[in-house]
Amino acid sequence: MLNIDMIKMGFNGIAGNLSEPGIIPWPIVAIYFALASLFLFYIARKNGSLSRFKTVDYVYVGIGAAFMIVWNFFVGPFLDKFVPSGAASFIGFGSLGQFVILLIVIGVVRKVGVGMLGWAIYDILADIYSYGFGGEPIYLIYKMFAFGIIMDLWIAATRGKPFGIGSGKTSNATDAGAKAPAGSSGFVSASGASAGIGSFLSKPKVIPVIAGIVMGIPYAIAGPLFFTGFFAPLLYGGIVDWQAIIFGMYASLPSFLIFGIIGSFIAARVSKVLG
Amino acid sequence: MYSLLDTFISWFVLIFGVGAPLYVIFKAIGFNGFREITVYSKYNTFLYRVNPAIKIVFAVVIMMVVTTTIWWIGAILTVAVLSLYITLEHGKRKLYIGSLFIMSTLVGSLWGYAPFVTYSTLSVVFPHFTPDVIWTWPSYFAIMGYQHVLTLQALKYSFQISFRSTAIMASALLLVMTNTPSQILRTLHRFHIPDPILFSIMVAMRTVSFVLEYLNESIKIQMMRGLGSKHSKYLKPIFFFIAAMQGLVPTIIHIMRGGKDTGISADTRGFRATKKRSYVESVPINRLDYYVLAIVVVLIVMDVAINIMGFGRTIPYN
Repeated sequence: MLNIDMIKMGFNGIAGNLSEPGIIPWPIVAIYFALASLFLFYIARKNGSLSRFKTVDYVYVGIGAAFMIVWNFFVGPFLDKFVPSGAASFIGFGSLGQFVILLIVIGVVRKVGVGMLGWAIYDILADIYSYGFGGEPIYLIYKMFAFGIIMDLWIAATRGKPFGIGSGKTSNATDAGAKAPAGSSGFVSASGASAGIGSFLSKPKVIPVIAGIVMGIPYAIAGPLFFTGFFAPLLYGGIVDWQAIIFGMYASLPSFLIFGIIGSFIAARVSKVLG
Repeated sequence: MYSLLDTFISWFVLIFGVGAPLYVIFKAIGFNGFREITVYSKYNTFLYRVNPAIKIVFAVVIMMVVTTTIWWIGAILTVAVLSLYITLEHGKRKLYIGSLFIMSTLVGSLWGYAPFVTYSTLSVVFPHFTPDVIWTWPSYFAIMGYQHVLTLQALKYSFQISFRSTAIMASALLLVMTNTPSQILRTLHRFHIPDPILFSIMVAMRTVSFVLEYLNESIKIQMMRGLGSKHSKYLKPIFFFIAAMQGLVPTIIHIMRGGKDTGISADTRGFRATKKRSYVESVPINRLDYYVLAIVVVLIVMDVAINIMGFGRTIPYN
């Protein structure tokens, strides 16, 4: 008798299980990923934050990925041992450290696409060092679109100044306000109307806090939601437990917020040093 | 009513499960040990001559076999792959470090699962099972999220989950130790990954060893300057971590500064200047590779045979 799992074992170790009870329907995930990418492209095109990567940017991303590897395989798992087991779902040093390291990388590179590129390179590297290319390219898609895109959206929204530092083309709020009469679209006039908020936002200590919150919350949600809710059953027939997913979101939220804010300050610091 | 001995054994088991992997990582491996098992070194035995693409295929097939069969197949494969380390340069040392690393991962992840597996998960895993209680924890262990009893089934389940990754880990490290980053990337080029991304990965692979080296240096220098010297030596691991955390951001800045030069020097050599400027030569496949491929095929056949014999994976993962 041939085992049922053996038959399901499709190409490259992907179980391909899309009918697990409770799983998020795949069209929803696909549409979300597509819409998020289109939206990212639209904003970046609109405010002119799309720019070509230089060679040195690829070097920075590579260095960041190397740190993520060292963290995730050699430091994080052993830091996690210090966390009392009951609190383990609240603090996962492995993923928090990666989050902070990637924040530093996007602070240095500051171009739309660096979040997704960073996750892609980390993912391939992790396969070389430990996971052995099983389940690819699903993991690549998961990491790029569930996590990387959040950071890219923030870079696009801040016009290439994710932590308030950088040489974006249209830099301050007065610039956008001056353009407002000429542009007829709601987007530009909205930013013109909020010029008062703009001056508050341009304070150097405020933006990293906002950046940490804006990126931390979706990060904490995306992990349990997409992995346990969709990719785990797709890849190896994991059990979908919505109670666990919702608990996972609540549990990881505080630590991602705290480390997001700390990481944003570190990133602002590092990008100031490296110029 | 727990006797003193019971309490003692419970705490001993707990501390062993948490402490043993930590002790191994600090004392026996360290950042230098990690460097040894993640960096290519020049040598000439058969594993160094096998094409990296074949090694990647090997790792993927190992993963397939491990995830579709019962846990002890994974255990056998882990030992088999680890024993190949003896053929590498400084083979005994690499075997020693590799085994310690795998062991600590195993004990760590076994202990990360076993005490917490709920009865409901186990009843999905082993339908109609009668729990074989091995150990009853003191009631206050519930604070840490422990189940009241440790059953044989919980151990079995956790063991299977733990062995899911060890064989793959061992074979992936084999690839990194026996091929230069350039060889691995020339292989990945076959999968039509764009050149800038390959370049980025190559930088990353070179950087991993620098990160471990500089972090190690930074920690040692901080210790030499007297970090934690006024405290008991049993607190040393804590100060080790404090030093590692304090050294992390300066290390990032230091390496990224050097990265600027890497970028400039690649640019001056015309990297990405025109489409035909950057090209990649692929690694040839020789006779030895076909022998390894034959082993891969045997593994696949074995996988099917094992499943027909009824030793397939029936346990869902969480």
